[in-house]
Amino acid sequence: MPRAVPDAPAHGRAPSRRAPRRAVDRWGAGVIVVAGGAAALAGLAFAGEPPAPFGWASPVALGLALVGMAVIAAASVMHRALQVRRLTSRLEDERVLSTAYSNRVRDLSALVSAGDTINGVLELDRALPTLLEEALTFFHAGSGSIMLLDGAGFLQTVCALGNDRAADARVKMGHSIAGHVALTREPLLLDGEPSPDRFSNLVERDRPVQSAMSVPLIHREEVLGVLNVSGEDGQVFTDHDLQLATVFASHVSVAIANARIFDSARDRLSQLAELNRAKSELISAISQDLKDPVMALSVDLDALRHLESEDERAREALQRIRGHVARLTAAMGRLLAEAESEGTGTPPPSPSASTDLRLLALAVARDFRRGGKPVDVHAHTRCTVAGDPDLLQQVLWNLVENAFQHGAPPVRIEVRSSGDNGVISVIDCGPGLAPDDRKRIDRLASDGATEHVRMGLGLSVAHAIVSGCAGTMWAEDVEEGGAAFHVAIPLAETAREADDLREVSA
Amino acid sequence: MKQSSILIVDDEPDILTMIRTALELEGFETALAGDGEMALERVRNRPPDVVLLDIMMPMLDGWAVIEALAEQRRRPGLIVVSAKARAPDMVRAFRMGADAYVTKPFDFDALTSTIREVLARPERDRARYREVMLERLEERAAEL
Repeated sequence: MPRAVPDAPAHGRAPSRRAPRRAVDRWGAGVIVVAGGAAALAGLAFAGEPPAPFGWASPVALGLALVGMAVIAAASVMHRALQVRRLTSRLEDERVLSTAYSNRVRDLSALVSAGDTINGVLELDRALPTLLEEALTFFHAGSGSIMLLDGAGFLQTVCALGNDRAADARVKMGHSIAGHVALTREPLLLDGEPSPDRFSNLVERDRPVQSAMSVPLIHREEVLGVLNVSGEDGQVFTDHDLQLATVFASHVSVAIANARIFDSARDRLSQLAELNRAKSELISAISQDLKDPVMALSVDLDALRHLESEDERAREALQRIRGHVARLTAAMGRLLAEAESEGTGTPPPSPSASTDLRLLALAVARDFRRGGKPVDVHAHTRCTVAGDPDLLQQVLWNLVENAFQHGAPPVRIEVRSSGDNGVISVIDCGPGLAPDDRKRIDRLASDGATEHVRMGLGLSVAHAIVSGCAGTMWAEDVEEGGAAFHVAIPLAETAREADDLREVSA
Repeated sequence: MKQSSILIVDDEPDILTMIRTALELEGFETALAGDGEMALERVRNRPPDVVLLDIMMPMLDGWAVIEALAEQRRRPGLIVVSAKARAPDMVRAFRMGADAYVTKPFDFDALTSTIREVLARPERDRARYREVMLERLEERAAEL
């Protein structure tokens, strides 16, 4: 585990004060030498004639002066020695503080580093060994284990390092050391061999542990388990270590809770994927089942056409039914393609087809006119957009049908270009949009809600198709009365340019 | 008049600095130690009048320091200053030879008055005081 101060010992010590003491001793020796010299001179002065350089002074005065000098020198030396001692003590204090700060920084750095490592692993299976390894490295411990509480009130070892016998341990809440810690929610510092009288069902060990810590793993008031750390031979944990272990355990608890959330989310995701696969299979099965009857219907329609009916209306009706069958066949083909792409996890191919909105409007108007529902088309220019013609025909068909059902004739279709989009509008002369309907249409447009507004399922289908073509759909009241539904779809040229740009970027 | 010397033992640098500043303003002479081993070394080199001792420390914790100090023939006054506020810890400290117990967080006035009390208490009275404190704590524990 990276440490902020890699070469520092487990806990830094302030340097010894022996060197400063030697300095003080030297001052003491100096005092003795000066005092001794002065005493010798004084003795000489009292014993006889003063030495030649001091012939002018009386022996007594000389002796007194020398003794006085010795006293002053000694006092000065003593004062300086005292000052040195005070300064030495203060220097030592500062070293103690500096060491204490370094220790604190190292502890915090190690905790941060452990936190980084812990939070970097999300899967519980991978997280647990990492967490335990971090704990053992952090405390320089010999062995340890993580026990998690199961639903039956038992603590089960889920990860053990350095002690194989602890690997399969399972203890009841309240039993053994871990059970006691989980029950009381209090961290425990073990000093010496644990007593079987106090802790029942102790896990056997090859060599009894002399110092160990057992800390509860608690997350949001819930006991998740226990972290056990045992010292190596001769290692003794202190209350300080227990305090650090408690902080460490809070990291571990969060990591375990996160890992459980991640595992649960992953499980849910795979369940959803399975459901999605089942849905795709169902759609595929339904589409396959519909395929044969629709094909039979198509064949029968062809046969009817060759009967050359005299009735013009019957021929028109047959023509319309053929159109419906063609759309139904196309819709089933799309459903099958989507089901297959969802099943394999690959997106359906993007539609590269283009549609001339003017021709589309004319075709739909013709179909409706044949059904006795006249539709005007205002389309003066060609307007080719990126989108499947069958799909867009479905959209326009739904909008026109909606206008006749919920609005009122005359109904008209307008086609125009607007910027990079082709816009097709269906306008009726009915009562317009009710306020509630407008809100629901806005919701549909903004977040794709599938709520069926007054126009029923048709609008939802139309909206889904338009969104699939990277288009937008919206509705508004018309000033003269009635409602207008607009669909804007990127022009084919614009869409191609955008595709080219995406490819170049990729 | 000779300044009373106080050895402050704690692994928390901010606590060391705070107590030192407060006690020096009160006229005490202070020395610092960041762990148990350093504390014993400083006691050996220059015995203080009172030791303010934290319990939760790295290397050698407060309990080991109390034990080592109890073996000394002439030991300084001993005030435990700890975040451990449970009665069993207090009982343990008094049994091992502590003269007073101050729990963190503490009030500086209370700390200095405790120091003065311990300084004023003759050594022969200390054992008697400890016995009284132990009786009180055990009574309180029994009530709880």
